[in-house]
Amino acid sequence: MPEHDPDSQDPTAPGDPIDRLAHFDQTPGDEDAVHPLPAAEVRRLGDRRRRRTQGLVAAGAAAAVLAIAVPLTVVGGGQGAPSPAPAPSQTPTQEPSPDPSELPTAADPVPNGQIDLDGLDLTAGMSTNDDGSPAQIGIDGVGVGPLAPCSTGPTEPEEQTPAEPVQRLTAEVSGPEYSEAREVRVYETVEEATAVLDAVVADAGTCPRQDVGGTGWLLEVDDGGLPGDSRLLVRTYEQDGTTPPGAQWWQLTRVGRALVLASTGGEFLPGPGLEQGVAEDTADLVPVVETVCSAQGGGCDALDGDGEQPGGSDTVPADFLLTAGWPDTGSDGSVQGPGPDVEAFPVAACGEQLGQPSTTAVLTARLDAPEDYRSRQLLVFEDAQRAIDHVTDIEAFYTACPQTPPTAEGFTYWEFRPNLLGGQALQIMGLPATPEGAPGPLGLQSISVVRLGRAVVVDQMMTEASGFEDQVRRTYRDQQAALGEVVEAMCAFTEDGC
Amino acid sequence: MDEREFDDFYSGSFRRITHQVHAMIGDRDEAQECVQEAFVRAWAHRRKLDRAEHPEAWVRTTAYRLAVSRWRRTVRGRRPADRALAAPAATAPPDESRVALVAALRQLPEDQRRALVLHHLADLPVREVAAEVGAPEGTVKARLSRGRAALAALLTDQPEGPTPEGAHHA
Repeated sequence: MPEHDPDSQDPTAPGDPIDRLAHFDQTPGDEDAVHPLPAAEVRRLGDRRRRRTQGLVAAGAAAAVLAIAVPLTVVGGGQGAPSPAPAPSQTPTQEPSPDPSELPTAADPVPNGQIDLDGLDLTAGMSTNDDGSPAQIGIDGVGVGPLAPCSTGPTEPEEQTPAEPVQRLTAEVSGPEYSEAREVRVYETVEEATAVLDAVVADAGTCPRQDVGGTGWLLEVDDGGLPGDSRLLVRTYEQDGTTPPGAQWWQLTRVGRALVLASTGGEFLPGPGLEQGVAEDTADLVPVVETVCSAQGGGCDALDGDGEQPGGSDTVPADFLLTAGWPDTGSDGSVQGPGPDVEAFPVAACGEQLGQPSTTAVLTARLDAPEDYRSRQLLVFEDAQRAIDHVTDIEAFYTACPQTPPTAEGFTYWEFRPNLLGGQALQIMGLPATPEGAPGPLGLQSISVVRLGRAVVVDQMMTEASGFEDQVRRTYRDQQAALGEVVEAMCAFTEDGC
Repeated sequence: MDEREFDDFYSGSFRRITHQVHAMIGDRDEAQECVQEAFVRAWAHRRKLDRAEHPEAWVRTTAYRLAVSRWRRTVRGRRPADRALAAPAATAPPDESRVALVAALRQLPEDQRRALVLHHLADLPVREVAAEVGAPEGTVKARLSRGRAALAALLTDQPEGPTPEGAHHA
């Protein structure tokens, strides 16, 4: 039993709410309600995720497809182009264990989309703790805490950014009148890191002054003076028309897909003393930022910019694996494409269709077989923001139509599930239901959307499966497994790795 | 962490973490999905997990962050009420006392609810709760105190009528 809060009530008191909470996990029969995937399946999904985040491992394969890359307008050559042979049939529910050669080994230098920060001295120039001990570097420490510059208390912000860093490095020191913290957060994509920084800066812009208990909290946003996309947030105070000692500032810098964050607070007197503290802090952070740049394979000048990563291409490889994972239809069905003129299933719900977005390239494949209809469409946008917007539009489209109008046969309702294939991804299940709301016998739909950089793939399946959970889960897993290869192929041209 | 160690960790902690996240967010199905995804990430990031002092806390925090992200809140909050009817009927009906407790927890502020669950259900001392949520110990104690008082009041006022789990979301 841990050292409990002394104010805690007697946890053994009968009927005590805390007692009920403490025994929340001991409800009889509750074990039947939790259905974890087999551990091997979790590892398989984790390996797939890891491979994706590490990028297309086979550099040779990437070189091969790039070598024959041609502008999309050439791909397929229109209606008369020969269709590629369907991919070999797969049975994802019985997918074999991962090839041992694909599993990470001790020789892997850096896992999971992380960057090598071994050479980083995150604490350079930092003070010591009140007891004289130096700052400790951790990977799960408090760091700079929630990025909520308008917050006037320790409570976490109501809304958190959806982007979660794949790697953190933290360091903190504190004393009676000062505190310093530094943190490096590495995200899966440049876009995620950019979005986090932009959100914080936008938030800061909404609270130049807040009144807290008779004290004015002032916040200024300025350029940070560090390499990369750098911002400086400085908070000072105002009381009875005077400026009391005390200030806190945040240095927020994005380089590539990493954020270098620093927070310093102390009894600085606004004016020269504060400016000197910020200047010294900035100077201490320069080598930190430069090391984070180097860890991403280049200098800060190469990484700084509009979010476009080097290596992106306007072309889709001629042999892009758009039909990967699709079954062999035999003589009972057909596969059209991939090609630019193949018609995809529309994004449709409640009798309406989402309009086709403006793109720089489109590649579509379609499978028509008895009880199995599929379409996959690869959309390449002018920039990442337009791709982000399209995924957001799809999400909003289905959110606005929670279920189709009921008929005598029943209705379909849309349910969002986790999509493990991308940083920005949707998995939407169209579940058939009887008029009474019970699982319908057939007509399951499944829509998987994954964005990588400027490209979005929209994968749709319409099957004769029912709305019962076992069939829904099977379809969901099949789709995730089959689409994984497509997502990996997207990495070859949409970004410099994934 | 090799495969055997991970499998042991997974089988030994999945249900426990799912219950804890369920209590935090008020939706068992979503808790299970988020914990599932957190374990997928845990295996993908297993070197990070190796270095983590408390792997279970890593998974729990990841699952919780997944659950409270804006995307999930927006989407799941608009889930049609019919979903409860369409859920698989193979599970036992929820315990009424638990349903009332979940309903009461869902009325608490998020930070109080999380502190209560970590301290009283996950059995973490205040110091570790503070580390996990990134708040000072004094703040955590205040959240616990307010949360306990609010929870007691809610459960005293609230009849223990069944509310279909999954029909709402925190």
